[in-house]
Amino acid sequence: MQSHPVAVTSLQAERYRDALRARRAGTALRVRFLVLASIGVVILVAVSIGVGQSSTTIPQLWDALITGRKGTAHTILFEQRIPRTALAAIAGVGLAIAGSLMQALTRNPLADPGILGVNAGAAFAVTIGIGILGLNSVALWLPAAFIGALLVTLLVFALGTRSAARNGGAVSMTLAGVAIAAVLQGATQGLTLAAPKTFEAVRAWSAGTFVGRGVSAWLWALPCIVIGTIIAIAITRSLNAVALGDEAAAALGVSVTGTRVWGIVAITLLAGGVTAAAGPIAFVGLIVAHVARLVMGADQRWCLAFCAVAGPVLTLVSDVSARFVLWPSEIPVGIVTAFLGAPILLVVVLRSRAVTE
Amino acid sequence: MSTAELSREIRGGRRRIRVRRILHTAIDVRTLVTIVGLVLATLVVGFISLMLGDTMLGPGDVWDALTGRAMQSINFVVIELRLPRVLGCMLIGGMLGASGAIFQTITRNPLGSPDILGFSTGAHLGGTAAIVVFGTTMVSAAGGALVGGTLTAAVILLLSSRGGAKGGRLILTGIAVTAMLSAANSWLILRADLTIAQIAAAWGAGSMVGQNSDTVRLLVITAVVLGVACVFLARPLAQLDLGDERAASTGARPRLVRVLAIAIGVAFVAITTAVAGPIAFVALSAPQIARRIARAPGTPVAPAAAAGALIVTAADLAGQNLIPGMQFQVGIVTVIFGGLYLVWLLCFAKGKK
Repeated sequence: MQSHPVAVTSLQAERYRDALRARRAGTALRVRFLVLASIGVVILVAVSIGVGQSSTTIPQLWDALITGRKGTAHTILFEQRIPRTALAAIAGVGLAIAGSLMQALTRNPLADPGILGVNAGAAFAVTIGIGILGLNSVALWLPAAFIGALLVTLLVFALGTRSAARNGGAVSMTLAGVAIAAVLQGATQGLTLAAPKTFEAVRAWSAGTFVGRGVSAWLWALPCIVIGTIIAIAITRSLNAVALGDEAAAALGVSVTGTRVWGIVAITLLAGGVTAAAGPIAFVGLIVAHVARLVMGADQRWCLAFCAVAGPVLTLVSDVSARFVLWPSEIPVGIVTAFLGAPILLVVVLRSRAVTE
Repeated sequence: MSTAELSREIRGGRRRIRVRRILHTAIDVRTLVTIVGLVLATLVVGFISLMLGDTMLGPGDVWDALTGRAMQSINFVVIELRLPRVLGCMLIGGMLGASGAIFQTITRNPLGSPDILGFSTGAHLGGTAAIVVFGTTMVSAAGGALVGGTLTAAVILLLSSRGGAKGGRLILTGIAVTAMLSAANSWLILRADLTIAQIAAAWGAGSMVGQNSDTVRLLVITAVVLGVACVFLARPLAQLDLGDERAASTGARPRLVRVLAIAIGVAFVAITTAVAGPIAFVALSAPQIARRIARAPGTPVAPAAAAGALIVTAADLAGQNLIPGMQFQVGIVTVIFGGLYLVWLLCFAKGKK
């Protein structure tokens, strides 16, 4: 029985066209999400600059921005609002991308530089730097933060994969990371409490916040985040391959070790840079990277793009909330992210099977 | 000794002494030796703790003070200043160790300890809230801690029991809840008046500094009452290990036993948190350390209590005297060493998960 050749061809062609349409629709949807998030960032930047606790009005701020006339509005604008907004945005990008990289590299949907102790390591190193070496500016804190972040990232990888292989799954790795974070936080707190005079500067620094960091904090963080992001973009294809498994990745010609090394470098730059400038802030990576996966699918390129835009959305929302939740005083933004992040972590845990092996 | 019955039973290669028909328990020789050894070690460490400090005293002086034959000034230093602190350490450590053993038995997971699961943070938050709202008294802090710990326990167990209270889910739920409650705690402290906030924050660092005879009295009463309850629960708890159906068929009532055990465990955590603030990782590590020394099946409560007492007393001693010129709180020392222990347990230890 011979089917009509023309009919067969048009059936195949139709299927092919459907597949293309679905793919383009998927892409279109993703692009729509990205555009939405970008608009969100723009709006939030404006809100963050315009809104706050002082009694300066928006017309006054606008006037100071346009004409550059000195005065209260000018001071508030250029010494508080703009540095703070810039730092929040940069921190959002850095933490979200670091979280996405960690989740991809460790294949653990709960990975986050705050939970797994990378930020705590950077914070501990900076504490030692401030207290013992007497470093006192963001520029000097950066190398310390990098060393701390790098050491802990390596430790978490080494121990985490070991415990995951032995006991099973993401739980052990997460718990190992939490334990390391607890040890480092305890050590940091112990030092600050035991020798208050030496560590007085640290107390001011140690709560994660975007305000009061100095006008140039974000300038120092910016190159680290930029370089880290570039590295992250460069390894996205390899990360997609590594997600399939080590052997599959090798079969595809991807160097698993090389990807991991570059990934670790990127995480160190991103998390270390943000922590040096803003103090330790947790949960941003967890929330944004997780949502990125849900919304964009498993392709690391789309996830990264989403993280880069959605991260600042989260941090800016948190920062603006932090100004008003406790009116008239402010709470550190790290508390707000914990409030937001912990329930989301709970939801992830309770709904997901993959996590509890 | 007429009512006690001493008989040796050889059961499966382990030698046991059956003591007192009333309690229906058989105590393993090695476990007994472990308990005695740990208690002796604790007493020694406590004694050393009484000797060291701003005024260095010799062992003879301390002994005289304890037996009431010393001079007024030495008496003051030892009995009024240092003894409540050392006694507090021992009792708190014992209660934390017992609580950890209870929870690890119920969850059948060596990681199922109150500090990881978030009960301690819940008790901490409850205490802080009570201090801020009701005033800075011992009673309000203790009451708040009790309520906070119980509520947190209920919520966590409820949340994780939908999928079965499996180890992984329980622990991750605990981590998330701990993070949230911690943030809430920081928020409360930031909101309160400065003096109240300072008191709450000082209490929260897990310190033995504030121990005095009142707190020790509270601890002793709690320890005795709940400890007796523990003794009666020990055998039914061990039976739970067999699984609910087998336990029921041998006459235990698993639901009731579990509820009672959780209540006692939470009470231990709440009272210790109320008195000294949260002290991390003792409830996690003490039962496991005791189990390894005693090589016992399951996690027995009494050795865990003895190990906990030793750990806290030693941690206090170390925190005060290890680095000259720096004083670390007990909570800090246990976090650092307990955290390292946890990492070791996850990554290098042999044995069941």
